Amino acid sequence: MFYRKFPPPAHLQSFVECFYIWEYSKTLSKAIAIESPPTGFASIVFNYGTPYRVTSQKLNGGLVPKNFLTGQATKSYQLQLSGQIGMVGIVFRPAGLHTLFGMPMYEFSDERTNLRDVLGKCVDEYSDKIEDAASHSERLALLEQFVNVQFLRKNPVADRTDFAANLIVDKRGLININDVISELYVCRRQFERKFLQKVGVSPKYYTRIRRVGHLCNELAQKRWKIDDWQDLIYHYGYYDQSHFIKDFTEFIGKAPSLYVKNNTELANYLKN
Amino acid sequence: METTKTTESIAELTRKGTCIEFFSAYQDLDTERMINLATPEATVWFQPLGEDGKGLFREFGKAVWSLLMDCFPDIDNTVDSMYSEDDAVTCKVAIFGTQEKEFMGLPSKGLKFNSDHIFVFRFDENDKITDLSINWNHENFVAQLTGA
Repeated sequence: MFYRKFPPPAHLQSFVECFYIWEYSKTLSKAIAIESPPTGFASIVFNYGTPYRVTSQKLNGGLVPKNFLTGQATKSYQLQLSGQIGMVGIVFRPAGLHTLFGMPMYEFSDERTNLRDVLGKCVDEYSDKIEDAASHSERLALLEQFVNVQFLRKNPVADRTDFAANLIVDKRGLININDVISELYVCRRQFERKFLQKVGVSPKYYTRIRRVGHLCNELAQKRWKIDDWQDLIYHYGYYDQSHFIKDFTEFIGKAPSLYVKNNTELANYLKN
Repeated sequence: METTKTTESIAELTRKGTCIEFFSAYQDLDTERMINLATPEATVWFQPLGEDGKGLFREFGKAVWSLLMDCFPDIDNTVDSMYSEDDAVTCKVAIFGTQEKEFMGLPSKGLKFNSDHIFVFRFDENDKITDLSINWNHENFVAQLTGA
């Protein structure tokens, strides 16, 4: 299995979090399910492997379009992969997709929208070239070119909303939005409207998504073995245990104990 | 097939946009703009009020929102997230304000409330609202206004 993230060139760093390539040269003998918490990032995906299914609050195991755009996930989702894995993606900074392409991001929250429906026929050319590319570096170059063309067309400038959203990511969601509003000298209503437009959810809601997403990431890095839950809860700024469980369950769809148990079992299964 | 898909996604675009417009009109305390987004026969249900909370969008809904705006002159909202499925759009919205007049039997103590609400809008094929149901934690809302 090959999965690798690649940093964007300097001029795209305000808008693009990373590019990625995910491939498996063999054919999966049986379907695998991969669960993902809401990460806080929107992305564009080109799939040249076997079409795959997603189970989310919207898609009940439905096939996703070959090439698609997805906005903020507000709940956990599960990828069901079978056959051959082959996909590349552009992961955008939280407001990056709007800044580069201009679409209202609240339209794409929890959606996987056919990229052709959004950006038109130009997508086909890239899709074909990515599929036919002979190497990872060629595919990566095509992804960069795809974003660069839009960058040159739009000549985007990161504004206060980009700055605030990126700050929330950098601070792992541990930030007071009222402080951000004061610091940026912006009107709360205007800031919230713009944020909804550019990110897809409200600033406060985004801090909660980001915090849970980052916490899940840390759980995975520790192989779901947590010695001191109280310390973790405190470290992530939750007021108390019940506040943590409520927030976690809202976004992940199951209690933390069940989430850890399921993932530990999966990790053991994969290890064996 | 693709044409249908495109049409569907455009319909959803309009519907989420209509929800944003509804909350924007709510922020501007403009009940006319709010009710003009719905069909004349559209219904509304303020769920915690039970059967008494049901009525016509343009009459009962307008009356409740007008009362809220009168009793909480700084009433405001933040749309946290929106989610569409079939003909419905579900919006998670924080509603907040400061009480200045008696509201549904609750005398004003000048206290603020901030309450998470779930709005479920349903639409017809012309993207007009046909039904809206609103839910919130009413006990918590009352507790905030009474200081209990």
